[in-house]
Formats: sequence, C-alpha cells, structure tokens
Amino acid sequence: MKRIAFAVCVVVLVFGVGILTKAQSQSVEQELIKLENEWGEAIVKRDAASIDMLMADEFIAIYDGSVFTKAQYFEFVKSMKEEILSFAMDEWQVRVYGEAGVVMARSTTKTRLAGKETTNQLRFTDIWLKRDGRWKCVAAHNSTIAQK
Amino acid sequence: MKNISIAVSVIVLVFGATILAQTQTESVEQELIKLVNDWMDAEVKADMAFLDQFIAEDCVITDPVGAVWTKAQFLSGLKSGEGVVISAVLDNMKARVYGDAAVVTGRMTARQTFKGQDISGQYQCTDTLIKKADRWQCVAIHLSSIAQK
Repeated sequence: MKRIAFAVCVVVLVFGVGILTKAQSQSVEQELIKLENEWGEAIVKRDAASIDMLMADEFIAIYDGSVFTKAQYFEFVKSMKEEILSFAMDEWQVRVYGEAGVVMARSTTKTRLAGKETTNQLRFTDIWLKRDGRWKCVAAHNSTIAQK
Repeated sequence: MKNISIAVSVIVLVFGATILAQTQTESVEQELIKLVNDWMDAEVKADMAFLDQFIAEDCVITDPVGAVWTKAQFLSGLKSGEGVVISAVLDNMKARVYGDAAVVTGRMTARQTFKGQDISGQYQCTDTLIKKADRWQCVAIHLSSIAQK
C-alpha cells in the first residue's frame, strides 16, 4: 500500500511539473506575442520611446537584405512617409528556450501615400532575450512575401 | 603598502576575469562561425547526417520569398535532389552569443538550383542557435535576397 501511494505521488509530481513547465512556457509565448503587438502599435503611432523600450542596444534589423542598426532602424521608422491604415499579425510560431525566445509570424500592413493604398505582407523572425526581468529584441529579420 | 597590494590584486583580478570572459565569448563566436561554415559545406555535399544533427527538430526556415519550411521539408528537398547547392560562400559573418543562445548573421553567395531552375543569388541570413546538451543546434533560419545593383 505504501509503495502504491509512493508511486502515485511520483506520477502526480512528474505530471504536475510537466504541466507547470508547459503552462509557464505558454505564458511566456503569450507575453512575447503581446510585446510584438505593442511594437506594432508603437510603429503605427511612431512612438519611438515605446519602440526603444522593446529593443536591446545592440539590436540589428534586416529588411529584405538590408542591414540596420538600432539608430538606423529609428531613422527608417521616423522617415516613413506612408500613413499606416492598418497593421495586423498572424500565423504565429513562438519558441522559448529559457531566457531566449524566437517569434515568427506574418504581418500585413495597409498604407496610403499620395492617395494610393498599398498592402504589404512580411514574414519576420524576431529574437528576444530576457535581461533584468525584461524581454528585449536583439535581432529582427523581415522578408517581403512574394505576391502570387 | 598592504592597501596598495590589495588594490593592485583586485584590479588584476577584475581585469583578468573580464579578459577571460571576453576571450571565452570570442572563442564561442569563432566556434559558431566555423559551425555555420561547416553547415554550408554539408549542404553542398548533401551531408544529411550533419544537417540532421545541426538543424533542430522544431527549426523554422523562412526563405527569401517569405515561404516557411519545416526541417523535414527542407531536408527532403535536399535529399531528393530537388534542391542542389553547388557552392555556398559566407562573408560579413557576425556571431552574438547570449549564454546558451546565439544569433549569427551574415551574407551568403550561393550557386544553387531548385527543381532544375537556377536560383543562385546573394542572401542576408539570420540564424538562431541554441546550445542543447552541450551541442549547438539551429532553431530558426531566415534568408532575404540582396538586391543586385
């Protein structure tokens, strides 16, 4: 009887730890998606301070083969002349490896410039690191999705 | 005199530890750049054993037109001969190491075909690597075409 009780305890413990780990990982995945959404909203609002909070100092961005430092990325965002009509992200894939996270998704941006509306779809891979309790993006790679 | 000796010892210790940490990081960076070069060789040779070990099961590969591939899809393309890499040369490589995670960026000049069609070109690459059980594995690969001027 004692052995059965012990075995049950071990099984409960193993399953409990497994469920807890999975729940924590899912919670981090949701947190990273939330940060990606905040980043998207900050770009729409041209809110440099909020973008700055999400990025590490050594942040590097690759946009269709061009490489940008954090400072160059800010210049790029500030120089955008297009009015952003809508911005949405979907097809999320998030991987968490301890204090590192990789977020992959598709973004769809509708913009207007000189009365002309354009829709642009990007596929992105963002790499996040947790530092001093905060997630910061260290690298972002964006590719325009070829339209069929 | 004793105080000066202690101060000098502390300075030597702090500098020594900093130099050691920097040397270790640089050594990992070099290891990762070599590993990524070995990976290119493995693609040219279609060395499936190396690729299978190096690419993590959950790896996501984003190609220059924004299509997403799993490891199985990527390897089956190489294995079947649909995708052939004739040569792949890397330059402008930079590795950033964050403990057991690393980001390697660089430029790849590749001569390759897919289903017999020439898809050679220059690509900007971002590879995310994670150290698992003392071995670096690639968990995300993202490629963009570099526009030719």
